[in-house]
Amino acid sequence: MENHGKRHGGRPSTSRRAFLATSAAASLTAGVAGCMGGSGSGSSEPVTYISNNNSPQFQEMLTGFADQFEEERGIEVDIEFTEIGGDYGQRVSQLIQAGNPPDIINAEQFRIGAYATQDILRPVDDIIEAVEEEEEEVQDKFGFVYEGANRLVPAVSSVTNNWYRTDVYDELGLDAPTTWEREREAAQAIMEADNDLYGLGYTTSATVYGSYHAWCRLWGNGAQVATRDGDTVEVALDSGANRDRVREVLERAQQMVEYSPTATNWDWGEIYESYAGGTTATAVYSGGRPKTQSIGQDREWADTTKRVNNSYNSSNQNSSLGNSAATGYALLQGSDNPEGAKEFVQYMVTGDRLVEYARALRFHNIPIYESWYEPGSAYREGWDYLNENFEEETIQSEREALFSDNTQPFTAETEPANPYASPAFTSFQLGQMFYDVTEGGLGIDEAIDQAATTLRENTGME
Amino acid sequence: MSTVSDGVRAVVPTRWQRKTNGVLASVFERDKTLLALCLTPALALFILIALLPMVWAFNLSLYEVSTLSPIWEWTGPGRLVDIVTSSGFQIAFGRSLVFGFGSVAFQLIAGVGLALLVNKEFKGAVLARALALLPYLVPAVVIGMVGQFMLNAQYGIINLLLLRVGVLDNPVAFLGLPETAMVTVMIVGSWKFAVFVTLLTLARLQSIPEHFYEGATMCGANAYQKFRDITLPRIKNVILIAALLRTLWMFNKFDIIYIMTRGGPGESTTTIPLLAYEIAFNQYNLGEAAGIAALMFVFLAAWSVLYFRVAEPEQEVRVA
Amino acid sequence: MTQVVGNYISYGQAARIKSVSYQIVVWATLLVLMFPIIWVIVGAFSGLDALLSGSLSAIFASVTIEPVRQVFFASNFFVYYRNSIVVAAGVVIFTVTASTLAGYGLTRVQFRGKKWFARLILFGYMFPPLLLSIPMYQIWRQLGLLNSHLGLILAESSVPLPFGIWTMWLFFQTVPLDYEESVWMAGGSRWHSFKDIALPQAAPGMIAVGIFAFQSSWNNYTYPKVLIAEDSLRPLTTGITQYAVQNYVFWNQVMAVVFTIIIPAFLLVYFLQKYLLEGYKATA
Repeated sequence: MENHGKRHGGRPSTSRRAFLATSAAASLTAGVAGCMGGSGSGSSEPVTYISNNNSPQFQEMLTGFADQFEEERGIEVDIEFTEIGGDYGQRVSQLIQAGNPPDIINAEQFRIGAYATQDILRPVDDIIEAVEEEEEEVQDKFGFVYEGANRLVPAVSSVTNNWYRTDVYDELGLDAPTTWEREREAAQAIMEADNDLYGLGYTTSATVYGSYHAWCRLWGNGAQVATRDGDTVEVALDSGANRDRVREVLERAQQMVEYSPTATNWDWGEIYESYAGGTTATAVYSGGRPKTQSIGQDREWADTTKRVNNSYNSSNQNSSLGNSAATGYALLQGSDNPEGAKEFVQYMVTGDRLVEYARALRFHNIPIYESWYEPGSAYREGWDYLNENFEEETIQSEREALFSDNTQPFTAETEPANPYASPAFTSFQLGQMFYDVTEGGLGIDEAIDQAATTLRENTGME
Repeated sequence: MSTVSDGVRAVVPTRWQRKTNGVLASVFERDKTLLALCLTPALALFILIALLPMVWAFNLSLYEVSTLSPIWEWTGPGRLVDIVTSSGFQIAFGRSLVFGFGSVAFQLIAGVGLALLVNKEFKGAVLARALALLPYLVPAVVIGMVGQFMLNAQYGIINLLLLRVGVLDNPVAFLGLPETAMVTVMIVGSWKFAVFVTLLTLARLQSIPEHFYEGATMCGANAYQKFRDITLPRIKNVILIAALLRTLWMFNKFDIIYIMTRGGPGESTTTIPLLAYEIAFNQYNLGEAAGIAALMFVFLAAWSVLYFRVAEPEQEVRVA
Repeated sequence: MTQVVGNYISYGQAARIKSVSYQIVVWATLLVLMFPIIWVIVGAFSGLDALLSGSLSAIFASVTIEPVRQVFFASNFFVYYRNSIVVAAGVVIFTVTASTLAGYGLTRVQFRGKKWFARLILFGYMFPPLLLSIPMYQIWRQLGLLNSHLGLILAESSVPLPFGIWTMWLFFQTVPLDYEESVWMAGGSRWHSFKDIALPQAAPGMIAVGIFAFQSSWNNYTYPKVLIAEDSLRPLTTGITQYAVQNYVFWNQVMAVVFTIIIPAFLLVYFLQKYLLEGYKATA
């Protein structure tokens, strides 16, 4: 009993003191950061950059850029290497919350909206102008405009590829999986041929890849996730004719999972591994990984792996609609050396550095400048990896797809761009909807309503 | 108060007191200085690493905060009520109960069994004990990765073996089906941590002097009686505290589940920590995530207080 | 002794059969328990292709030391290894010392609120750690302990310490006060009775705490991630993440890394219990 009383007497005051200490520490930190932020330009603070690629090869390359840059311009750059994925977001968030944001972060087009809507990204129009002067025009679809200003400096992009094994397709006399019907027929025929090979990897998972796959499938039927009404962005999944299109996609999903291994928890890794590992004959991917991985593993189908665009429902579309996902750099508000950061980003995305960087990505991500695809360009000339593994047809087909008007980022469903596309994407609700109607045992209409409601609650869309 | 020693010291000449270490000896002599030495490091770390961050997080849960913005807007304790009443939280909490208590039950049975098994002396016992403790030393992150690798439907060894033996006709995606995902995650997650129970129990078993058992044997006790009267009373409290700690840790377990399933398929393995993660880093709502974490803390604290009352794990038996 | 009378077997034979079958059970159980580790070792010496092929014979045919070699010659591997050892050693020493002292203090000094002090320190385990890294980063920054091994050792010690205190508290409770009192009777100081009487009897507990502290530091991923940004100070756990980059996992290299992580852990457990437990049993 005595102990009891003492506890009650003791704890509140401890908590209060602790709380005061924390808030003092927090405000001190914020204050210090504020002062530094104010005197940002021309400061001698090193430029800080949190990189999301920590493979030894990238570490060496980026450190090399930084050293070279410091030698040429006299500005120091500190790079911290973190792995891509959840950890990257956690690290950036930690630094922002501590009032110590880095100058430069890596940003993907489908994530950048989440940063932009918090008003923490600096405009980068001047960098893009300078880059265009040095290289060539940067198409709008590779950037991201928020409140009238560009917020992303794109470096490379990837495009929706429906990779398929021509060896299998040819042997069975199948057409390339360009349309829904052809894709389904091929999948069925491959399953029936019974050689331990599934028709395709039809993913129904609440993961990053699951979101990507779901969104591409919706576009294959001309269905939209969002629409704009003046200043507000609305969820379009469950309204009007669009709802019918979503329903058709989900009905087809129920059918297509029959031709796929269980893919209820697949992310990027599983889809390309299943293709390169010889389990599936067709795989939708953002970029070249199914092919580059097959090359890396020396598969006999590495050479016969070819691409077509995102498959579409030929009964109501007459062309494919695919996604382009640019990645590059963004600058954070409140950081110490924004001027130096601008110079360094511009340095990284131009000249030899961009060539070296793009090559290191092995044609998984591809250049955003059309002239680079010409044989003999600085990018292609003397690059054995590309010229020996990718036949001209595939290279030009990716180029054509990337620069076609039928290829757009997910943000382009609305005009001006939908800043909530990225929270919608990373909430995984689209993948969840596909899961609900296949493995999850929910009715199609129920699943659509549920996804739409959750998106309205969590993304800033109405 | 150690009055006995004080009393004894009063009648013992000073030169009899051995002073092997001047400073330490004098610190140990007085209760207050001994206590200060004993408890200060623990207390300081507790405040810096547990208390302050927890207060910060509790405070955070009362604000509307984006994960990506340093601006905090007051929203108040109503937030916690909203979370508790939301179906997403309730379902995830139910999964946490299944995962938490299910894993701990599994770990206790397997862990104590293993400890009893390798406690006996036989040729190679030292090696057997070291091997038995080994899973505990494998990083959790790695276990998640290796588990995922071994359970893969296409090339995983588990499927290969089960197919070869004939238990399965077709490969099964253990982590991809809602019926099997939770159980699989619980088993993989318990593989390592059952050994934590083994470690504690074994250490305790090893400190029971052999002559206790010899004496009992001479009195004609059978194996069960020896276990009940000698072993069990001595390992009871260690098991009780292991059960409590494991419960706290399993309820907050994140890495293994995240690596193996990301909370899927669908949301079938989304426990509270995964829900908090999803909300903080995919929906960018840091304040709400803090609220979810704070509620988890409240539940675990209430559970622990109840557990302390009922089980009294700190009252070790006195062995005179 | 081993005389056989009719259908009966002698006591000695029965005991031997019992002992052999017991050992079979033990090793069979361990084999099942060890299976994931065995598979890690197989993986560490296999080709990536074979591992992903889904064929056992391909896996066993692809034996190679290449993954282990690649890991060993990877940039900074030995630097990470050294950092891990330094930090783990620091954490073990700090934790075992602090929890032994606290355990002794809690049993030998009576004070009000003792029980609640011990209970309160467990509350640190109750908050989901996910969000605590943000304030922790801020506090360590204020203290100037970011990017230092000392800062990392202190932070990582916070994990095993509450557990260690409880374990040692429970262990010291079983060391009868009588023995110590007799030392004091003989004129020994309390320091002496602690060092020579209480401590040896609590040795198994200290080993358990030591192993716990070691594994906790050796496997800690979150704290170095939050507190160490400089590559040359990183321990293995955060240093080696480069084997799983951008959705591309080099499984055999990951296994090779795990293999090298497990070895020192195994040696530690083996020798710790071999020497210390046997030493203890001899004196008990």
